[in-house]
Amino acid sequence: MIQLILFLALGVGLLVLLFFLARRTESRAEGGAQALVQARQALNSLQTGLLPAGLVERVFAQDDWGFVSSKAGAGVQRLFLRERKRIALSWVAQVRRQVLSLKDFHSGQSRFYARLDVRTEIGLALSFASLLILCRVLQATFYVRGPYAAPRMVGFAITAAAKVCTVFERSLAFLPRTPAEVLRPNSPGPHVAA
Amino acid sequence: MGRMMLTLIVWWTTILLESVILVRCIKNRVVKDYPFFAAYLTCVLISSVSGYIVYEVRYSLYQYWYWAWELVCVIAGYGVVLEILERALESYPGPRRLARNVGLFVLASVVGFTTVQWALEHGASSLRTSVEVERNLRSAESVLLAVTLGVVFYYGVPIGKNLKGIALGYGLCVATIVMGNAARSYLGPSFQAVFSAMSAYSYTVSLLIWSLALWSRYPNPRPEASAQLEADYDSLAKWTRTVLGRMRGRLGKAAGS
Repeated sequence: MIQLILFLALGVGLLVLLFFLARRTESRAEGGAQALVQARQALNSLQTGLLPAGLVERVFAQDDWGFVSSKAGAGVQRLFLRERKRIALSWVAQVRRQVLSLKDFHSGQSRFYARLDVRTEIGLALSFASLLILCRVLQATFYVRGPYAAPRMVGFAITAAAKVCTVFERSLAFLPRTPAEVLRPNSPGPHVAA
Repeated sequence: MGRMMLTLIVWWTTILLESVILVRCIKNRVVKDYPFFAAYLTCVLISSVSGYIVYEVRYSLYQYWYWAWELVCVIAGYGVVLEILERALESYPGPRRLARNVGLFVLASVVGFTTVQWALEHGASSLRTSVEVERNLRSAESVLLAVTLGVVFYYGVPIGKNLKGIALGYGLCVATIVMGNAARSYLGPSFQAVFSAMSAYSYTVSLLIWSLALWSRYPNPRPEASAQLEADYDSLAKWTRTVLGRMRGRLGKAAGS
């Protein structure tokens, strides 16, 4: 029975992949300037797309909820929570988009390298997958329990947003060694176009 | 009588479609791009025509004849899957090597497992053994194809209409056979009639997909030569890994709280 389920799952899995293949719209082969422009766009998106930590802090601030719950009626409280939930969900969606753009940047660049490391690539693919799932879990939590249902979680989320921004800033220092730097006319480094 | 007639109509239709596709492939030179696919289709065409003759003239030999040709077609099918892998990723040496290594590892494991199983179950009925061997070999094929498609999706590799058609048609064929053989192996000969109909109809659909996709030649898109970047892969991988690790750590804490 287990064998039957395994083989049926394999067949169904392949059919699902074929379905996506059939639906896939063929983009033209990317390369050269096109790839570099897209890499630059991905980088810009990483640098500026994530919401600033201060704003995130404001969105999840307990003070606002404390004020509204003490001063306003039930209708206003409901409206306030609904709006905050919407904003929290939007924030996670932003983070998820950044992860996706990072994945696109990495796969878009690395596919041209001849000496890809199998372990590294599989590890990165799994990391991207787990991070994307994590974002979905956060979205589900915010959706079900709301932004104020778990104050500690919100605290961690605020820290996460701030840390991610900092990490981005620090990590971007690696990038001058990548070909994307070619597109930045005023930056130093051996790849700068004359 | 009606079912027999329907079987014959499907049989003739497949022979006609196989011939049309082969003629088109030769005429529009697709055969030069995909020689393994053309060889596979030729094998299947010979198998279909000779099968029809054996079926009509000496039915008692049909089962032996069927399994012998089935094995030839499975081996030729591996050529098609490897050709899909090589052609889809020919401009991307890194992903190609990755797909090749992972795919061939899985392939070797399944073929090794099948050989051992065959040796151990020597006393089992020949039909059951043949069904299980074919199921395992086709499963390895489907894993190899799935790995190739996974790499194509992950790296956003563009593929041409011809190759897409070959992959779609062949994938449909293999998926149906894997699922059908699994059910046949579990349910026994009672599933044989359903399996025959299922595989015949899915194969006809595959032939229709190939007819449409291979009617004209569409070369696979290639990246510009300048895209062969020389920058250090380690820097890129390290950078991506660092950012990912930090993001996962922070978000993990957020989710786990």
